[in-house]
Amino acid sequence: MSLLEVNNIEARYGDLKALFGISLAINPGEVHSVIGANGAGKSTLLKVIAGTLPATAGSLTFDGQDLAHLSAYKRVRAGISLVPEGRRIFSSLTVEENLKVGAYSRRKGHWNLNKIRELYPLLSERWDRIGFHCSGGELQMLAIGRALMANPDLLLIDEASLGLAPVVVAQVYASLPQITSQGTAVLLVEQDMQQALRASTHTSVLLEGKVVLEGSSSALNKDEIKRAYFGMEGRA
Amino acid sequence: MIWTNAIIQGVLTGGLYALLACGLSLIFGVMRIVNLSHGDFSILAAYGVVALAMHTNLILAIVLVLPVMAFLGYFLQRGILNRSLSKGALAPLLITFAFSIIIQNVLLQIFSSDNRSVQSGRFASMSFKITKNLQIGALPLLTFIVGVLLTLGLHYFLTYSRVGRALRASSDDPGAADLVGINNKHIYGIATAIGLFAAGIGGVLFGMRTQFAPSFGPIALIFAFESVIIGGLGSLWGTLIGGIVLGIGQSIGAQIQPSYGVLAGHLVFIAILIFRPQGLMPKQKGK
Repeated sequence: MSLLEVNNIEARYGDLKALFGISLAINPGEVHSVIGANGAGKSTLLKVIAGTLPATAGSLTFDGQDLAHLSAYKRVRAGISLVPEGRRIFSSLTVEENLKVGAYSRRKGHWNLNKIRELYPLLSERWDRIGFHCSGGELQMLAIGRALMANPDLLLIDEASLGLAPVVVAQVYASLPQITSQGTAVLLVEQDMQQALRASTHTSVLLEGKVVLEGSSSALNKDEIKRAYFGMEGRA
Repeated sequence: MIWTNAIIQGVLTGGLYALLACGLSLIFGVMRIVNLSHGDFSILAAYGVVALAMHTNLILAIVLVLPVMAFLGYFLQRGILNRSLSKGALAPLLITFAFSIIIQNVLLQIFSSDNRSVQSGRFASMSFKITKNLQIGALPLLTFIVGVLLTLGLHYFLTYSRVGRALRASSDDPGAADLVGINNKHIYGIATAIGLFAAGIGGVLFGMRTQFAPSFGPIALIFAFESVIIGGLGSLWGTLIGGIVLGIGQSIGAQIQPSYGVLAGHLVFIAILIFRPQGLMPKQKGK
């Protein structure tokens, strides 16, 4: 049985339907990337899994448990942490305090303040800086660190590379193997296709709220992905 | 010497205003709710102590009433105010206005409009002689010390405890707090519990100092508001300083002419609004 099973999920923003029956499955320790153009529904999918947007149809099963009636904060306690779009770091709290708040759910596991310091030495140097004064790269590392402090079984990362310098993106992606080596599964939403394929074991391509292509990241054909990404299937 | 005396008495009175205000400041800081019934909850606690003290001693009455205030805060927040938070800024404001009217009328029904006070016996008139012309009352001193200790306690709670950090996180970004496993509704309940607990302490000490009637809540609220604004929104230490500044203003005004006291306090408040609208110790950017 997979860690997370997403079955035929639909979701909408008011009258606007954003997801049209998405299914995917994630196993412990694997990195699953979801790629797609703007508006394909990638972030929406993460919101539905994290519980900040309700699914209007379909089912979510995590670790054998139905997530339907579990609100976002309870899903954290169940083992799902989201690194949200825009990072959403607590701006008046220091780096250390942000990490401590990340451990609010008191889940036991590998990650603690020292382990995060080792994972991201840069954060260690900024320990007492408030979120408001952190740079984009620091905020992204802090956002991942804060999510890890909850010792999740499933880490959802929304657009880790957005707005960051390539060297910082490289650092963030270099930390993924250390995260998955603890058995944590990662579901990654990414616009940078190359980056996503390199970092992941499985990839799903979303187009207009549907999965149009999926498979093992190394086995997927680049041209096929490009066609799926831009919705040119059949025409090429 | 009379001015030194006025200033010292003003500082001590400031401790009372800080007590009346710090819960207001906390509730606003965490939930952006302006609690119009804050002063009424203070008066409610004072009446609670008056009623209980008839059957038992004062200390026990206070020890019983304060936790009740905290529970009341938690349940009013979770049962009523939380439901209004998604309906714009006006809904919670109107609800606290309703609390204010309800409390005043319930108190009027039970206790009538006669003035009451919390009887603390000889303690109320005890004082320490510092010099020939300078005396410090035991009650004002106790009030001031409690005000400072409560501010200090809240500061440590917010800075170093798990729940305190969660309160600040929730104040920064409730959506992100949700994503780290914080139940905002529970956290809001705790904020109001602490707020009404503090309001209760302020009310009881207020009631030991002067007589009060069911209609006194709004007066306590105005002093609390002025303390919060003078000190700077969202800053606990600012609220203490604001209370002290207000107290000094009133006390100096009263020294000039006894009936000018309250007016002088309001003038200080208006002067701050004009010349330093962010308050004396505003919350830092991003803080």
